[in-house]
Amino acid sequence: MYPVGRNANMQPIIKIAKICVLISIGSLSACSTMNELQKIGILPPVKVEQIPSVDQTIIQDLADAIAQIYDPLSTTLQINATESDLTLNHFAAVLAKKGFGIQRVSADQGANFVSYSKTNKTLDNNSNLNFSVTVGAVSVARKYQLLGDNIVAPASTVRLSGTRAAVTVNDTVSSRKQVKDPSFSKAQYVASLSLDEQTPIISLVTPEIVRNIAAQSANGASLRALNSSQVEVNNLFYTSQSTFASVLDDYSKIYRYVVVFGNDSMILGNRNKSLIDQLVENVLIDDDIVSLVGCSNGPTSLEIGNEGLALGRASRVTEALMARGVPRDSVLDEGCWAPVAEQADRFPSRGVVLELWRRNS
Amino acid sequence: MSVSNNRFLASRLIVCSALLASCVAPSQTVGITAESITPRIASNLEVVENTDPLVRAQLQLIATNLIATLIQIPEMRPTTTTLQISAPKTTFGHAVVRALEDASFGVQLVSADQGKNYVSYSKRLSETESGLVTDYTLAVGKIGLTREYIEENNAVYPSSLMKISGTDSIADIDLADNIFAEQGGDNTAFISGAQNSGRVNPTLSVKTVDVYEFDELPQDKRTRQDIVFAQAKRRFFESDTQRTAPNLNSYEKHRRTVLIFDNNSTQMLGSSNKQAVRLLVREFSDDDIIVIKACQDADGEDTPSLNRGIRVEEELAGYGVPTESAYIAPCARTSYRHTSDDSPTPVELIHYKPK
Repeated sequence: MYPVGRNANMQPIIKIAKICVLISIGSLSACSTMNELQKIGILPPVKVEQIPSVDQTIIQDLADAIAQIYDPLSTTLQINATESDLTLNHFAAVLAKKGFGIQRVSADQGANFVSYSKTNKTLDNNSNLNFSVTVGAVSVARKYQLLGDNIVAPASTVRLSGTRAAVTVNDTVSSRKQVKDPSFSKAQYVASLSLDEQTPIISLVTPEIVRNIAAQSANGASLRALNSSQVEVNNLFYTSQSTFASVLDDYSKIYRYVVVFGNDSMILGNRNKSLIDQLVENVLIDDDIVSLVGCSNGPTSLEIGNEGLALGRASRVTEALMARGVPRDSVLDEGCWAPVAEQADRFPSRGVVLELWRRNS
Repeated sequence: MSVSNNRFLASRLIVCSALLASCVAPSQTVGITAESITPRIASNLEVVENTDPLVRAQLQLIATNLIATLIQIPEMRPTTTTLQISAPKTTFGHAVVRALEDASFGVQLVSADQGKNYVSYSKRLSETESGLVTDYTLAVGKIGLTREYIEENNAVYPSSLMKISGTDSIADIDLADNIFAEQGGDNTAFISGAQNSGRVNPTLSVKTVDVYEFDELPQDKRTRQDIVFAQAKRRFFESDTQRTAPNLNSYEKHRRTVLIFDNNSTQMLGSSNKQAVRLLVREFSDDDIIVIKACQDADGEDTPSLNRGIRVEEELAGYGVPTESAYIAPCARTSYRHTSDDSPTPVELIHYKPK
């Protein structure tokens, strides 16, 4: 039977249209399935053209500094594998080209885990970009001025924290980079500000040492307390064994100095700061360890007592060292405190014993 | 509307549909995208794009199979091993390097064959009485893996045992051969097992895997490569937890710390926990041990706790503490924790020194 009339004329077309719509829907659903597959595949490689040229210039700049802090041939850096950030993945590609091993990790595993932050700020009609990269405990940061047309100019020195490695900054002028102030073309060592969050306490549980100290303690001073890194340390007034003795097994003492503080004071003073400057600039090398024993032995009128004063002094010297780029991990700070003066003359009454230890060759 | 106009409209509709269909034609669910097997470093996307999507999927399966085996060799722990690679030139090379990246090996690009863990690989076609057989070889330093694979009905299956050389530790290796069954098959069977190449294998365990049509899974439902690697790594750590507990009577406690994970599911340690691990490890000597107590909320199995324990063991390994010096303690019920509980979760670390 043949269809008749207008509707009859339209019926074959309607049928064809239905088939076409079905084909299209089928095709589109196949397309969406493929998108799902693409989602499943972990991140694709980054193409350079996907990265803003300003970021490319800055990344190259900071990667140059990182390659001077760590030896690329013997260092593997960890990057979060699920991180979809193109800039971070481009950073990893640049570091890989410099010879670093790159390890994609599922969370934040590894001693050299890489993360970065960048913040835009406008000051006096100038657009600035603060770029900071953290590799393990080391941080490299620099401020850049955005000059338009994808051109940047360094607006600060390269600020390093957690390392004393020598870094040369070569700010070469190019089509993407201008140098407005040559005095910024250098590295500056600063203290790390990234550990404001609460670090877990590392308590000391060696029973024998605790028993010995308890036996020797006669006049009520505390026997243990937390140092500046939240690591529990012994009161060395009552024991001769440093909490960190095992760390120094392979090291030899090469320098000793007593940083003297004023009575009931934690102020370092210009003379002590200058001495610490000289020590860090002229004597200290990579892998050295600085041992500090902050002391307060004798009466004090401060509410924090001898314990607070002793560890506060050690903490003050730790801060001064870290502000000059000495890694926190390289400073072992302890204390000796008691309301009476020490008879054996091992430690000063109000000062910090600073010792520099170097790995045996 | 005249009939001729209707025909014209119909022809337009057909053309439009055909165009639309052709636009999405490459999106068939057969095979995988080029990006899925392209390494993030040292890649040549053109090489991979010029390869048939189905072949890409087969090469990814083979690379997954080889590298899931490599992960379980103790000398090749991804956490602490950096491999040296040259820029891959073939599609199989791309699949291998990408799989190594996704298995969390450190990957270092070298200009020649530098490094003690230099990665080399080969693919060799042979005409045999069973038909065309291709054998694939992966070598990392002194470790070598070789296996033959055969293609049948657009699927690839192993056609030999996995031959492993350069290590004595193959007893606990569990081959990820289930991934081949997910392709389905027509009453196909393949051999599964690992043998130490060139040596007597007294504990050799071989089985036959039968694959039927109903085993076939759609491409997007098959076990993902990263899941296969995660399972392989987990097997390694699980067997590690089965080893005999150290005799703590010959040690004394030195330090203790408690790391707090933000919730019950995260693997992120965070900078403060990482700092604590770094400071704890600073006092670690060769004869010391560190006990990890992650499981405090159930007796027996507790997967999230075990994963946290493994995460901390990985972190310790990253700072140079050997796996044999870190011990994940068995579960000890101290509190009840509901599965939906998302509150901060502690992991206790106790550092012991010999008496």
